[in-house]
Amino acid sequence: MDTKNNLDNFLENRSELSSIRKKLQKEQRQIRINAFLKNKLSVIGLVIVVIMILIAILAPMIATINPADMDVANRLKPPSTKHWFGTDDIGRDVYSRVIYGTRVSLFVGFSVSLISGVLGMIIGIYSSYNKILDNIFMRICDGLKSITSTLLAICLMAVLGASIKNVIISLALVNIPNIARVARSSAFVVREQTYIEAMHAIGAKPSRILWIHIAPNTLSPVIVQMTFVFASSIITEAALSFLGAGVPAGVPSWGSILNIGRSHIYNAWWLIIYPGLFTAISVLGLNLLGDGIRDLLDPLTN
Amino acid sequence: MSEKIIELQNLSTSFRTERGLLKAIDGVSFDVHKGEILGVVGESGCGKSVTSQTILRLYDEKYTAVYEGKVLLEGEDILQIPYKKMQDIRGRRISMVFQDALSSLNPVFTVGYQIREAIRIHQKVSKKQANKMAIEMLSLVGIPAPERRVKQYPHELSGGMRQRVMIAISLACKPRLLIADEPTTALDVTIQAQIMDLIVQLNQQLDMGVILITHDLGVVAETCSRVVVMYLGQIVEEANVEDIFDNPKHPYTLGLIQSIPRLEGDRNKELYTIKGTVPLLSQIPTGCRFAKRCPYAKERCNTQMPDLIPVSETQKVRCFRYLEGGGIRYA
Amino acid sequence: MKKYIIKRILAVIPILLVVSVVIFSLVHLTPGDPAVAILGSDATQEDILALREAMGLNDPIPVQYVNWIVDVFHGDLGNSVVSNAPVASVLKGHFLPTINLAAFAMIISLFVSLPLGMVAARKRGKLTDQIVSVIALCGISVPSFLLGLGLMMLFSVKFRIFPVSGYAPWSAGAIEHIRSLTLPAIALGFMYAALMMRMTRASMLEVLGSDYIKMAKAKGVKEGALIGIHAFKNALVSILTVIGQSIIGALSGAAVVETVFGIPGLGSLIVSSIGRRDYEVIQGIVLLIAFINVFINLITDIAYSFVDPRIRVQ
Repeated sequence: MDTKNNLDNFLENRSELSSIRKKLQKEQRQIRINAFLKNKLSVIGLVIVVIMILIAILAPMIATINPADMDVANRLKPPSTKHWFGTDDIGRDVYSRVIYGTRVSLFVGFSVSLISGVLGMIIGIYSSYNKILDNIFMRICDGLKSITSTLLAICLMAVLGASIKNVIISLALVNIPNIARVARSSAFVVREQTYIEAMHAIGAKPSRILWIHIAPNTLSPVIVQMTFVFASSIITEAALSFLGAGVPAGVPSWGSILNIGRSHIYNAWWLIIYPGLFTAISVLGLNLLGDGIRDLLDPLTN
Repeated sequence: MSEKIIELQNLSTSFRTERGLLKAIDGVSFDVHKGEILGVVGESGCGKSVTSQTILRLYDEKYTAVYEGKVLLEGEDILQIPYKKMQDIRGRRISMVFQDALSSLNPVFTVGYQIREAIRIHQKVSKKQANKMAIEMLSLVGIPAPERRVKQYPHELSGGMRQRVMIAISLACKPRLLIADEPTTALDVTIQAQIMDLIVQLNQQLDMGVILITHDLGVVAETCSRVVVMYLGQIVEEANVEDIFDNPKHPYTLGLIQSIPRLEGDRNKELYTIKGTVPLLSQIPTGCRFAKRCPYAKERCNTQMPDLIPVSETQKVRCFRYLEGGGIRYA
Repeated sequence: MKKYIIKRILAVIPILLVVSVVIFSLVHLTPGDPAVAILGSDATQEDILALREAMGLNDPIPVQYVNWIVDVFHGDLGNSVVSNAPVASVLKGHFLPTINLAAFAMIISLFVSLPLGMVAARKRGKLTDQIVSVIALCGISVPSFLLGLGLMMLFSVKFRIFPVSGYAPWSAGAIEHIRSLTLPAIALGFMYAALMMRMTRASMLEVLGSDYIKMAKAKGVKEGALIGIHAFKNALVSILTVIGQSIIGALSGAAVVETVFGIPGLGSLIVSSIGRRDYEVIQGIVLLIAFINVFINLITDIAYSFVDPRIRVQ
């Protein structure tokens, strides 16, 4: 009789507990989202990124002149009502080129973070599980760390040749170890937790544990890392294009406009200021957003 | 009676938070005499650690904490002296031993460095001399082969050994008052006893006052001469150690005593627990702070706050029931 | 301690192996015939065959790798396919400007970032902290070449304080040397200063909240020693990591900054070699910098063990 009462009590408490827990979780999520919105910097970051995405998508409507159109008679002209950001050394409209350049930058950044995010996560999670693979992987990571991503990207571009596709391939290759490390270390943390041990004890299949239970837990640090990869890819693409080893000559890109600006630094400031501002602001936006997402997903780091 | 080393008068500490000032301790008064061990007892969150850190003014006074009342160290109010002067008091006249020796000892400095530093801050001695004194301190706290230990790092020592090192650091300048904040909580039971014995022994040897902060009434019974019981930032009872155990006047004190597991008696009986949990500081009740959890609470307890009233020469209690002549008894 | 250092040194060997394999395969396993790439697509079949033979491209790949490594150990990095000069001597001519630039950048950023990071941690949430955070945020958002261009527009073109480009070696006088490197060093160092500032702030905050700082305070340790000795030595382990990474980053990041400012270092050499398809030189530069980086990582690892005794045990 007593036992039955106890059991009833227990079950009742349990369902009560789980509903309380759900409520708490919901509340917590709300608190974090509020904190994100309250953190002005993250909101600014979000707004910048959204605006940049809109510019990239709507480039054909926003641009005033075909970015490839040359007007040699009007070369190196300062900003005017016709050419808002002036013209470059062969008379192309800088405003339209910067707008189309947004497309290139965001496309490269997005593709790189997506590709390296997915592949890096798979490699990272697998190596957290397989010791031999892990050892090989870590040695490769150490080696690549010494070559550094900048030099590796420059080399890859030198070998592959200038094209948007090759920029994406190089930068994705360079960033995979980055993401894989993050996924690997958070997979290690999850793996040590008691419930994972318990699942091993009750004989769950390792692959099931790996992909159903461990993988989702590595997702948030990987997403945070992906936004930073996004930002750094924009920087590297601009740097590569600035060096003439990024996108091919004709394609409008912030880096290649800056390259022309370097040669005309004495008389054409507009070739540096506008693409420079676009680069810096979009990278700033992504960094702010990344910080915000990190605080949102993992309040402990704050 | 022997001389008073420290006397707290109506001490309050509030913290600045996003929701305004929160009073963590409220009107705490007690004193410690030379050669005496005073126990401060209560559940976590009762303000016993805040009290001890307030005595040393360890909180950031510009941004975090606001103190009221007086802390008289041998007659001088150290809450009023310039903050910089506190550096001469800390470690020299008042020392503190913290709960977790592993995290309280700096991991990147040797044991010897940390003791020498404590000595050389307050005394003009050479490095060599300080080292000799450090070795003496280590043997005083019962560490074998101290010459070797001074060169070791905290992580190379056992838990009990680390706690002894921390005591050696605090006693390096022979302070007048030692505050021991749960000095044995992180240790094994056998080591706990050794450390407590050491504190009692040093208390007599060095003739200093000791404030022993603990939630363990067993430790209090063995070591202290007087006890202060705190609940939610206030003292609810103060008495000699015999009176606390034999003749408790506050229901909370009684509850604490009853929650001690015992070897004798009916083992199948469920262990007594005090109902409910300690309320948050931001939700302090208006009346008696213990009323919500008190088996004797009446209407008045919920609306009016009782004062801490002396009931005998040595005992004080904060409870209407006692003042109205009602008794309390073991459940 | 000794054991730890020996273990670290031995761990360098597999890393060097990986580095050399990666660099080797970068050049040799890529699609397209290097001989064709060098001679151009309109070269005759005989010329191509002859060059392939001369470059040893007809050997199996592993043999080529071993030959290459053996040569590298003898200090022979091959010959430039453009000028035919030995790569080693080409690198020697471009080595100093890069090292000087990176060192200058590191010195500036260390002197700026460590104190600022510590002050920011001390004044957490106050105006100083916010200013430092904003500076740090700008630092990681403005790429070095962009900052270089901006500095150049302002200080060289508008105010004419610094030369627009070019490099004055030590032999041209210390002042000229420093003048020619100031803007490039700031451009290169700003980002790393920002990273170090963030790390210093974060690790100081973590350390300042720890029990041993409270304990030291209770011992009577003065404010200055509390932050400068107790807290700093503990924070140093994570700060050292960033310093190591920053030196590595500055060495390779120099490529872009050198091009901006026309400094004849390894960086501008690699960029011009890309245009000339001079793979031997590219390979040599990357190998050299990677080896230096491995060495820097080794030193950082050993430095840890001096700062934190707990690391020696592992």
